[in-house]
Amino acid sequence: MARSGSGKGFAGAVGIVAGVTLASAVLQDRVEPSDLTMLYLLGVVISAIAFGRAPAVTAALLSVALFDFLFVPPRFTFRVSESQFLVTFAVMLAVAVITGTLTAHLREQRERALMRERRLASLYRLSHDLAVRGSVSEILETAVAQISDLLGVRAAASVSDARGGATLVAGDRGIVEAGPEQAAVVSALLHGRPLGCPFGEPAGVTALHMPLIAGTNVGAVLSIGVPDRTAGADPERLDMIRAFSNLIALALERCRLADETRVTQTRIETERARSVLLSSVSHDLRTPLAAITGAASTLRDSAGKIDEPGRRELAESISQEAERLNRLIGNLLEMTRLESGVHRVRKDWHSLEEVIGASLALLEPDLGSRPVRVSLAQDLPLIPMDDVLFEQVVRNLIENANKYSPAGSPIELHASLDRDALQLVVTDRGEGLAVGDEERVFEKFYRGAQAVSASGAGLGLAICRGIVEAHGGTIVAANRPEGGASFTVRLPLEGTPPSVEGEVNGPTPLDEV
Amino acid sequence: MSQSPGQDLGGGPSTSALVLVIEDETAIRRFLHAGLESEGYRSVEATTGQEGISQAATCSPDVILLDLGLPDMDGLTVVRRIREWSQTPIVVLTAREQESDKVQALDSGADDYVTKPFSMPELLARMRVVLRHRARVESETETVIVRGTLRIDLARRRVTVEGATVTLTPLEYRLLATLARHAGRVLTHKVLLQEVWGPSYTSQHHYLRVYMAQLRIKLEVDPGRPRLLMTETGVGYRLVEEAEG
Repeated sequence: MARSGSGKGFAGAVGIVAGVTLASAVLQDRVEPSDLTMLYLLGVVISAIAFGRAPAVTAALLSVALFDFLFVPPRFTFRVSESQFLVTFAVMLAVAVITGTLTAHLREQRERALMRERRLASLYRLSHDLAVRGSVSEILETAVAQISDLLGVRAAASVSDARGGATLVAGDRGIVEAGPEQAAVVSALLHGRPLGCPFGEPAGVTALHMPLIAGTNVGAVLSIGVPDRTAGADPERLDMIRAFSNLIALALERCRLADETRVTQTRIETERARSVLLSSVSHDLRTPLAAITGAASTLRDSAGKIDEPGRRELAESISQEAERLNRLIGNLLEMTRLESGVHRVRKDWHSLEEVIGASLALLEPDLGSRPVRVSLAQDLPLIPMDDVLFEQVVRNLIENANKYSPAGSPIELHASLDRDALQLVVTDRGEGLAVGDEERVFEKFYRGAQAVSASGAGLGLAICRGIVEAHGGTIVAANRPEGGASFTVRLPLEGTPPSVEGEVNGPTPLDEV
Repeated sequence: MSQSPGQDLGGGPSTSALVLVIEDETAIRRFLHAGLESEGYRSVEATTGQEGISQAATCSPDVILLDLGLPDMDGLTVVRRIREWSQTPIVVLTAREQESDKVQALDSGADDYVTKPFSMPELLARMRVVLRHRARVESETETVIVRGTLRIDLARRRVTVEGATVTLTPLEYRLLATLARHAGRVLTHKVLLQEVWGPSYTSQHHYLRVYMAQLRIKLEVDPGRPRLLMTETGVGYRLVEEAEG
């Protein structure tokens, strides 16, 4: 009914009556004056439909007056000579008021229906849009954009932060920036009650701050600009804002629950991984311990019953199993250190040849007579690396090759410079990696399908990757076309190797290296 | 390392030598005792650093086995205290992984180390080296060191491989001679740099890497798999005590 009381409506009604009067003036000679009343009635009905009740009544009164003055004899006076015209006047007025009221009512209903439809449509659109948003900030951005679009005002959304304040996540910073507005946002967050026009306005607060609540306070506030006090108090608008707030709150709640579910899921999986790890570790630790305990107790309790070779064998197995246990514990410690980040990589300039040589010397007892071919590019400079850690990489790779290729088949190490990196490739002549294992072999406790020997806990390659990555390098596994596996380590070469002063006064020249 | 005269060895064979074991773990003391006795060594034991230091003074041991992880005091402190008045060889028993501990122990005056867990033969080999070295310092007789095909004559400053003279630069020779004078023992980077290049070079580790590579090319059959000049990664270098084959 916004337009019914406006001047425009009355002007329109007057215009219509004027038009009817003009038409009547033209037609008056050809028709009876009683027929002209029909024309005026039409005008009143049109006014009612177009402009509502008050203009319609105005039109009716005006019509009666003009009809009486212009067309009812005696003309150009308000006197009425025939009583039938009094009835006409009464009927005209009554019809005008009744149609006016009826049509106006219809109009109101239509307008309300339209408004409801618009509101439903925008709510539907918002809920649809929110349903596909996965994160808090996405939800709030979408909501704020749609609200400011729909209401034609500035809007913003803030969430509570760790320090008990509020952080803007979407929308127009301008409407929450001022001190009082900011305080109102924090207060709305804290108490879960709307603040600002029309819910009581502390000094300086002009916007409306709606806390978002879905069962529980979800810790977010929607701030909406208020163009003026009348609009701010408009119940339709408030209903709309409430409906929007509920939708957003529900979307946020859904998002939070999804996050919680995800966290729980991760925790369950971590737990499962940990228990697998524990059972794997305890098995790997207990096996050598069982062998040691068995052999040692046999030696202790069967003095004189076992011959010398038998005793030697038992002692030998104790010593071997102890060594195996020692390696396993070493690997576990190393892995833990790498994962906890305790290791600082202490890079210095090292000779790769020397590191490989030291690794081979340590592996001598395991390798026996197996050929290990080392080919290093002639121009290899000193390489920036942590020698203690990198020696482990080389050792683990050779150990791995030794374990997974037939005894006596050669293991090859090849090192070269490739652009700004050192590339070290370790290859064996074993069965190679199973399809899809190229990445998995670097997972801890993963043992390849053909891991026949029980020795090793599946940590060696995981340690390699940890150390190489701590150096800023990469390590990948692949199968060689000729058969067997190859592991390629790339270490970045940064900086210039330091120079070594030559010997000037030596009796013999420095040999070229 | 220290060149001052060592503790009195009585000139006798090292197998009758007295070993002081400073170790708090009963299980380790027990097997050390058994292992040492069976090799003809006599042994005395201490379970704390304090007790160890006083035993070192009262018993005049020929060699000391010192655990670095003692309950009452830091093993490094024990090394330094003993070194204040005694040159008795010290072999440190250390838990794995911490190369810096080994280096510190060696730089504090320990003669060598074994990493736990170690085997008895490994420990006995290390003890023999330090005892022989101590004897050598006293008698100053051994000036020719032979390892496989390599022969180093310290008196004549001559190095030969399979009888053929190898020409070394002065620094190469000094490096080799330093390792040879302490043959069988590990020398830390710091000690080697100080002995060969001088005190201002002790952090220039890359010098060692370059010169060791040069020495290996001239002396080793396969420089990539050295049999004579061994690397103790993170600690230092060692000229082997006995060349295999």
